[in-house]
Amino acid sequence: MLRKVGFLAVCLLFASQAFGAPLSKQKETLENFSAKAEEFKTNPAINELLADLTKLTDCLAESRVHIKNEDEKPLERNLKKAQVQIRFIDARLNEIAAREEALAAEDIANKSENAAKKLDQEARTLENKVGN
Amino acid sequence: MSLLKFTPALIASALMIACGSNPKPAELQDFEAKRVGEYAPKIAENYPALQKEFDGYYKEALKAHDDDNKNMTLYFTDLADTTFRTAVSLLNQKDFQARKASAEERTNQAGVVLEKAGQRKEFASLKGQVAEVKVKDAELAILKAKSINAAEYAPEQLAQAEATFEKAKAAFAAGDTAEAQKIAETAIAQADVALKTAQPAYDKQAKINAVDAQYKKIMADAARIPSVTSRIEQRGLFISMRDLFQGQKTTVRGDKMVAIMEMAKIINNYPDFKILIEGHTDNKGKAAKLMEISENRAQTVASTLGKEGVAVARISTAGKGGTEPIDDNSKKAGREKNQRVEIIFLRPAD
Repeated sequence: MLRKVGFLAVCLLFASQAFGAPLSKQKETLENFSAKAEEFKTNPAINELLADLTKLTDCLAESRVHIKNEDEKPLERNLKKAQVQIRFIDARLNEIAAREEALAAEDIANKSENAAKKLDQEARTLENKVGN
Repeated sequence: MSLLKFTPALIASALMIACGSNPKPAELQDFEAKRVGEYAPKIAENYPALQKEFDGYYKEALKAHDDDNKNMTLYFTDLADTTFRTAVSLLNQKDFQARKASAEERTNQAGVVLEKAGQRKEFASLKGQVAEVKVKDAELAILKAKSINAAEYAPEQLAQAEATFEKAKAAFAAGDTAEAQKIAETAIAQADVALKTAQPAYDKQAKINAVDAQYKKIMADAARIPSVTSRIEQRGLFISMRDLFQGQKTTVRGDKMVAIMEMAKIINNYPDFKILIEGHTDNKGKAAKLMEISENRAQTVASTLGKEGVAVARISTAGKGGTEPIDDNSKKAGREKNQRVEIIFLRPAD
């Protein structure tokens, strides 16, 4: 559920950025995206997505150059690219978290089933000894 | 397989080259393969908005390619590909969530099995304890039979119970508790048979022992009276009093009254016994006369005891004359011994 809310937040972020907006607005968007990139770095699972993160940070770096040069059109394209990349990384991080949870749950299930089998066998052995 | 998948793209590229048109970049060709690949139907079903979005980028990429704008072609291809991969990632998330839910369900089911198996194990363990208790009960039943001397009064039955008990113990030690319980129950029944077989003989002997114990106390009390001897026979306790009468007289010598009074006290202390008083003489004289004398002497003693508080109903008398000597009548000392009154504490009937 939290993951869905997170993904929706990214979508809203996506929707709220005004492309083709004035330079100041694009600068603000860039700062938001940079903050998001920093947030990604704190996630332990980001190690699996280093190439994607590099692509994002390169894109943000290029955007800063465009802001400096006041190249609005390339800036807009770069921000769009960054935004799509952010949404992708976010989805991938959620996927990794879901994978870890599924694996942990499957591990617990396997252990529980093994314990159940073992206890069932113990009960059977004891029942055979004492008779039914 | 992959060669077959890319064959149309390769043919298209070859045709375009042959026709002199600009070939699509590899990135765009890769994406085109993906967007009609295995994920396409699932994305269309689950994420139509994302599908619409990457299709829009794809169209822009084609348009840029048609315009021979390589940078914009790659730009839109990248957007399309990243959006496509986002959709794939969301599909994977769903799969993982389903796997998690399935695993949690398996855990729940295993929990139910665990709980039931735990209960079954506990119940079986209790049944095992019941078997242990049965084996101990068998041991107790055997001890109970032994306590009434079944080894003497019911040796065969006791031996059978003990042998069965040993088998029950062995089965329990081997972990076969069901068999142990069954055998132990047989041992209990056999020990019970031994007990019931031994009980009457034991009770009889116990009664005899109790009477003998009282006889010993009476003997100790009587030993304090002069000229009195005592012995235990099958009929009962015999207390023999001598020198009560002078010559062939039937009245008690004055100095011997005290002895009879002492005897009366002892008899009164043991009110459960019937008392038989027998008079005896030596063999000097006619048998009929001796019989009469002995009868009179017994009655005299009985009468004196009655006066000393002994219940008349307890007392019976008999004269034996000289028919039951206890010593040699040819000698004076023997004849003196044979002149006697015997007070018999009769053994109670069964």
